[in-house]
Amino acid sequence: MKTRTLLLLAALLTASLLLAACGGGAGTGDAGAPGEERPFSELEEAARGTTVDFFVYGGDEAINTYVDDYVTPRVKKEYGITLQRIPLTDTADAVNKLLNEKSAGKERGTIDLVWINGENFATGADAGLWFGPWAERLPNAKYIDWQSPSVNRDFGYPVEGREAPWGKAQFVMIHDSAKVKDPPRNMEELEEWTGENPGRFTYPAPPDFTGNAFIEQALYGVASGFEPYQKPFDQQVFDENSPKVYDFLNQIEPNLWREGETYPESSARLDELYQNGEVWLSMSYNPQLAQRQLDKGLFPQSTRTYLLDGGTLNNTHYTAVPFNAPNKAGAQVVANFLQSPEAQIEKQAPEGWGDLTALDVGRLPEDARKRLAGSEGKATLSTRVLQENRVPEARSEWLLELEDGWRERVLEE
Amino acid sequence: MDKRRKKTRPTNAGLAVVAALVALPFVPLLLWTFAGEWRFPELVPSEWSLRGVSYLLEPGGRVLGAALTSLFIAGSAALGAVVVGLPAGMALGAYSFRLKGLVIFLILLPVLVPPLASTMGIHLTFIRLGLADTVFGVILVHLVPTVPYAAIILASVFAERTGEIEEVARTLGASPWQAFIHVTLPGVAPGVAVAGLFAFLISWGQYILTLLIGGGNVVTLPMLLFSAASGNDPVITSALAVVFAIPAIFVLVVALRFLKPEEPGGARGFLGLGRPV
Amino acid sequence: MSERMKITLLLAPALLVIGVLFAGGLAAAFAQSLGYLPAIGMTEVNLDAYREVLGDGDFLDSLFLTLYIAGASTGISTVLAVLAALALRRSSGRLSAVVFQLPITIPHLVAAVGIALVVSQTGLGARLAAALGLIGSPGEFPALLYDRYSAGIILTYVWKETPFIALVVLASLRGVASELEDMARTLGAGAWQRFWYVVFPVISPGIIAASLIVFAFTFGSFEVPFLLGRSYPTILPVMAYNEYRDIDLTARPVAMAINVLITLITALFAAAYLRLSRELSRG
Repeated sequence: MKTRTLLLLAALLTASLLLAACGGGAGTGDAGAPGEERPFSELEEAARGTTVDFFVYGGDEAINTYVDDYVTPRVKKEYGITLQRIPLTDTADAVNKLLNEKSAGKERGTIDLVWINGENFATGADAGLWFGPWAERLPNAKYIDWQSPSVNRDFGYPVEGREAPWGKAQFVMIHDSAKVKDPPRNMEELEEWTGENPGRFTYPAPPDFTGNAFIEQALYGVASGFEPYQKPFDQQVFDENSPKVYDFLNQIEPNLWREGETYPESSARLDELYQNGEVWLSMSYNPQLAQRQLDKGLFPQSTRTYLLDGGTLNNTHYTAVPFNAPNKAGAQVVANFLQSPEAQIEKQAPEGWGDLTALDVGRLPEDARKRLAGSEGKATLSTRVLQENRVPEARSEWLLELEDGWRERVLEE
Repeated sequence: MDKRRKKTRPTNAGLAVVAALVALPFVPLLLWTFAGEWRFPELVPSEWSLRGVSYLLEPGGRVLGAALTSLFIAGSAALGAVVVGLPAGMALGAYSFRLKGLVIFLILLPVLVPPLASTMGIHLTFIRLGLADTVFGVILVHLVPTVPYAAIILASVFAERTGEIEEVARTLGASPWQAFIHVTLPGVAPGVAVAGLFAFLISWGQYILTLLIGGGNVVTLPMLLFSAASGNDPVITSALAVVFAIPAIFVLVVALRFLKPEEPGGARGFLGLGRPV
Repeated sequence: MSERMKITLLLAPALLVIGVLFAGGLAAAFAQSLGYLPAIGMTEVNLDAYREVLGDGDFLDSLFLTLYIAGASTGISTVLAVLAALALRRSSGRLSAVVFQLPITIPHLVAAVGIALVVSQTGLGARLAAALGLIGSPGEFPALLYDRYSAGIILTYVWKETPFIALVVLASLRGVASELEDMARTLGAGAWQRFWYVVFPVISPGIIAASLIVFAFTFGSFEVPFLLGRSYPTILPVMAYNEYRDIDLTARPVAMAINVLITLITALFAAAYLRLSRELSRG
């Protein structure tokens, strides 16, 4: 019995070790992968009657509603596609999943289409996770200005047709005009303001997307604007400029909410604080968020949106198709629909999501152009104002270093 | 006589305090579930609404689907845990043998060592074997925390049996197998039920294991709850929490019918383990 | 068939499941912690991940936080459990069983969400305080969530684990301890003497055993701190998970090293518990 059990156990353990450790090293990047070659009509044909698994960040109920209540029935009706929205807590999880699948040699994955941009796209592209090119061949690509660097480069990284633009974001600040008559419009004013109003401001902790944006704006604000960060990463420049940001953030820390001992985990939490009146300023990548929440009765009626001096960050967000997507045809058809003028108009409606269009309004027919020109509302800014006060995002490499540094130099101090 | 009466009043007061503390977290959960508008510092919602409830009952909505998935996974895991744990419990409770201590240690390990570590380790293998992103794969990893519990509970059940009735059956002419089916199994049935219920509860409450192996494709109630709890809508979060808690309360009610009040099965099981027959 | 054969067959399914899924997973984690990840081209075995982890200030911070949360939760739960069991031992078995068993069956996430809604700065407690005129705005209520003392997390564990320990103590109190205590009373011992010299020694092994279980469990637990905790410092299991999620796959060995260390620590407690419960049943 003794020896037998021991042998049994030993055999089990060895078997599992072998199972776990055995290679199966999957192929590395698809250098020279041809991308999509079929004409779109063929894709529509192949996609009919199929299911598309769309992985989308699930933390914003408005986005979930837009996809579930508008997109899903429309693609069903027009293309016979059953769209399934799979919520993600963090888009990086999808990238991680794909990386795992690539390492394990899983040729047929579970993600057909994923909402993505920035660092996540770049990391995925470096690892050969994205199918493509395909995006510039979509019928609705005619409405996209693919020549614009804010479209063909995603946080500075070349897109090369591997993702299709879905919408645009611009960083804005939000204030409660009843409590804050003259909000701070640059970093110096912010420092002054937090000194006079301790505990009334905070920002989401990186790596939350909005939190990242805030420290990026701080970087532009205290360290010579946006130009240096459009170039490839330079350790020297970083070492010279990043301390200025960290020093600034540490300087204002004692006057932040909870004295900076903790930061809200996400922009949703920051909005909660703003809703409860605990902080008087908030921020968002969605210029229409304030209007939307105000209309829902969640934000106080005196909420207004404003921009920072020198312009605020703007970026494009996209949908991408993974290398092992089981339904590439369906994914492309859905991506094309998402880019259609009617879907974009519905998306920009402030009662719903309120996300800005990715389309070049100059290429649209008259009526569509009018409807996408920007909406009216006391807490919104006109499209012209937004466009005139834009700065590009820094390249991902700078941001990754900046976020890591924030953890070490600000959070852990 | 007097002394006893004096003791019941403080005992009843003590019970009331404990009961209040136990009920405390449920108060805001129930209030928020039916809240329409409830701003600080109101003590009760100023407006009530069925928004939370209608979110739960949306036909074809996420909640129903997730609840069914959770039920299926927990039910299957419970079944699997009992099927695997019953023979193990019998071996541990009814027999003594060399290396018994080692076996008990191995079986006990997944109860105390977080299955998170082993699940992260086996994840890549699961992907390679096509088990990741599937309900079956999730059920498999749920077996890790549930099988030990089932085995331990059943071990204590078997340890308490003296085998007398089986002896009698044998002398009356029954074969060992017949004795097992007609005497042993019915005798341990309450214990099996408790083990199954416990296994169900453990699987029901799992989050990180399902998240890791399910890869977002397998959506269970705790994942919806977690996602809602990270957002800023307390109505939806509370409604989901209440729904998530209901089967647990149901299990408690059912389990109480099988347990004698003075010997809550779980505790006795732990302490009874290892006692030689 | 021989008894040995029978026992082996009976144990086989359980040992197979645990052996492959649990031990196999741990073995794989161990291999990966040594840097053996052929799937991404890492085949050289080394101790780099361990060196990095053990030398990392973050890891030590996490370790201390995890020990603190587990220790505080266990300590508070144990004290409250003993008090509750002593107070309620004479009440009707059924009622106290229900009251105690409810938190045991409720999932941790439900408890966490419910308690968060009670203790948050805009929660039930804060609103009560406002109604009593003690505070004016949410900011004046103490921060019990996402705070440095992990109060919300500990409260959740205490709510969940106290009943478990209390049941263990109750079982013991109503058993042998009760008889011995009656004997002591007839011999003239006072209430305190009875408790300290008779009751406590009898119930303490059970208390310690239950506490060990609770400590090991809370040490390795993930969900509650993931929901109610700060992002820094965070507990060990969450740290392992964050490393695991890192898109830089070379961080994988670090994640696995942390997993292995968590496993070793909790296994130690498992062993201690087993040894204790063996002695307990012999005594």
